Amino acid sequence: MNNGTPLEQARQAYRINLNRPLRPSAIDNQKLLQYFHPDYADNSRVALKVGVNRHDPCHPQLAALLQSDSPTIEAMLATATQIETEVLVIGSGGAGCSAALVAGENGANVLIATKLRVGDSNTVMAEGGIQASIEANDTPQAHFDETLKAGHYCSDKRLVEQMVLDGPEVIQWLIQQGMQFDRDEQGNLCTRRAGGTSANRVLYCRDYTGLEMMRVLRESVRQHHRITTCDYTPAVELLSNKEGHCSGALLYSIETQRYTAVKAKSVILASGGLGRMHLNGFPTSNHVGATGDGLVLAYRLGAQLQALDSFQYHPTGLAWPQTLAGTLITEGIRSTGAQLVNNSGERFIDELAPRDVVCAAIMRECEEGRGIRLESGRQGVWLDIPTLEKQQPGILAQQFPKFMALCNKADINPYQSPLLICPTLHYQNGGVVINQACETTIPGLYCAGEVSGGIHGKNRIMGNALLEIISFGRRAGAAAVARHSPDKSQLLLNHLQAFRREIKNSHGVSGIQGPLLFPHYASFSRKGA
Amino acid sequence: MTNTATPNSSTEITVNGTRLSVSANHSLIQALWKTGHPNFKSASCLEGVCGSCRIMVKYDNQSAVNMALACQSKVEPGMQVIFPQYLEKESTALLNHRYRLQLSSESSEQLKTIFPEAADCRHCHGCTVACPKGIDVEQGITLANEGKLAAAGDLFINCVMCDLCTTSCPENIAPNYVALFARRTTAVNQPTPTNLARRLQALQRGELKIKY
Repeated sequence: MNNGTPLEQARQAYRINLNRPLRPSAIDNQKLLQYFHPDYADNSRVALKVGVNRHDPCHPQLAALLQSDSPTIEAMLATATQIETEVLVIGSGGAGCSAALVAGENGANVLIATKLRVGDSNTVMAEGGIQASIEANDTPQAHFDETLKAGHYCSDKRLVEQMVLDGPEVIQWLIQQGMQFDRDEQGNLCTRRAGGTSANRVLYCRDYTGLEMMRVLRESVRQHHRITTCDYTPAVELLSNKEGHCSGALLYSIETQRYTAVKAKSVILASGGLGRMHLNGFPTSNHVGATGDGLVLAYRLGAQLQALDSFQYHPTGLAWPQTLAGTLITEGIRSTGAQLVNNSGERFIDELAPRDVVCAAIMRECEEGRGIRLESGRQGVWLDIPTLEKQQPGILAQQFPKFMALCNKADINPYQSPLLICPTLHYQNGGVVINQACETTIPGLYCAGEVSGGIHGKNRIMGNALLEIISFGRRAGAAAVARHSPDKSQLLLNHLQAFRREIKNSHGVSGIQGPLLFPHYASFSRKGA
Repeated sequence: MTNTATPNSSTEITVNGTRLSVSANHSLIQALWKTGHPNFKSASCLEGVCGSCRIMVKYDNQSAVNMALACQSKVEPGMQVIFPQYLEKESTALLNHRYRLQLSSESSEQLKTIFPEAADCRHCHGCTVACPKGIDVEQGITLANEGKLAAAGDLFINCVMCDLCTTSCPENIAPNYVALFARRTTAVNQPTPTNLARRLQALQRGELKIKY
């Protein structure tokens, strides 16, 4: 096998080229995925041994975590400070904050518990934008069809229907919260096209869409008199009543190392994804806290999960320099025309094919010796920025300030030098099963955002994540307040004991403890654990 | 392989007063992790947009102290680093400025009511020097005081709300919150975009159903 061209050699061979033909592919997209996408590899799934999803396929690293033991013991609950709220929101990215805001607007007292600080999330890093079908030549039907198609028809159609119809109103709500979007001279919202779609449907605020969204939502939350926030306070266990319904959560303070038991009428889990588990050894674009905690907590309580073997590897993570490996380069830059190029200056894939296909195509170039090799042995391909700037002078400075700041930090001159990229673990396609009101299979437990599943099937398109978190976040907030809960219920750990017995009986103990809370290299440990 | 792979030659730095030997060729956060110094409270996005890892840093051959973000800063031999305390949630800078966004042609009057301190700016440049994102913070306050809220807000497009400008202001102005108010009130008071308005009306009329 050829190992690709060494970085320095490839850099010297690189030339700006305004006319690169696309190499025809000898294999179709389905085969490309089967041979080269990490999700399709033989070692990418095992059957779960315990829990509601027993026998279902799951990524081995996630399976080990879902079937992990908990460091929580009864004494932690017994000695915990008890507090009560109407709605408890776990997580404070876009989904958690929009859920809390709507719950607050609807008259409930809300507590947000979050592992880091309010807004420390993947939302704040989102660059590409948010999908909403608003252009005259576009329809919600096209948005619906293309979301399903990109997800290989594995989505829950009712959830997708509701989300695409919510789109325009979500944008209006965000503007009412004070969010700015880029506009043209007539005052229309600017739109651009996402990979795998036919119309301009992605709205954006430069390449800072997530930052702008999170700044605004965080301030809205901070200004809201019904919302209380607890930073550095991850939920380490959900709590249940005698019927097994969700009745609250056990929180752990990283600062004081004390436990708090929160009793709540409704609990909204909005804890995000799991990129920091570095599945298959991939770098990740995710923030430090993305360790799959919500899936672990929900699964122990008996909530059904789905598509646990499907993840998104974003095609364009920075591969070099090492200090910034895994950092995302927005799809927005490909959607304005940047091309992917191999070691011999050849285009090998339609850059706006669905993300999983582009990812597989890059993996193929590297595996077949057409990549660019780092000293570490890791390979990537070029993202041809200099040619883009040559074609559209001024586009970088005008539309991509975050990207330019990244180049500055990386000591890369994007006007002259292409960027070495390789796929980076980006998104969890599956998650907790929800219905249109964000109810899980466990009464009292709601989910919104990346922790939930069913919307993106087996592959997500750009901009649907920001739409999802606000669309479902708001609905979760409203549903959580509307819930009738007759009993003043107890705070018990019965479900955990039952889960432990099941692990023991199945000899499925994985030897690790969950939830992880932080990646191993952050050297964090929970007191008493 | 993770983001923190490949050890390299080590170098001496000082963090919060403690001398550490860390591996070079890493960002400061990566280097601290590799040395087993948990620093989770001061790290989140690692892309320079969340503002949690702000630092004060002095390099070996410089006399000036600069503000920066640790995830975006490479380890340099002899660098001295301090992770400053965050503002307390109860700090007056955060508690005093309560408002509800409203449709109004009087936004600059509203700003004077919510942020009366903004008029006291003595142009000391402290806030601008404190900004790790290179924003001309003081100019933003000047524009806001002149009633140019949209222009003031525009200067803060890449603000990560690290609060360092608020911490550094001797007049207790909270510049990043002034700017955020300016941005938000600008957004709310712009006319509804035509393409969005048309689509919302069509949806209300029930014209756009989804067929499975």
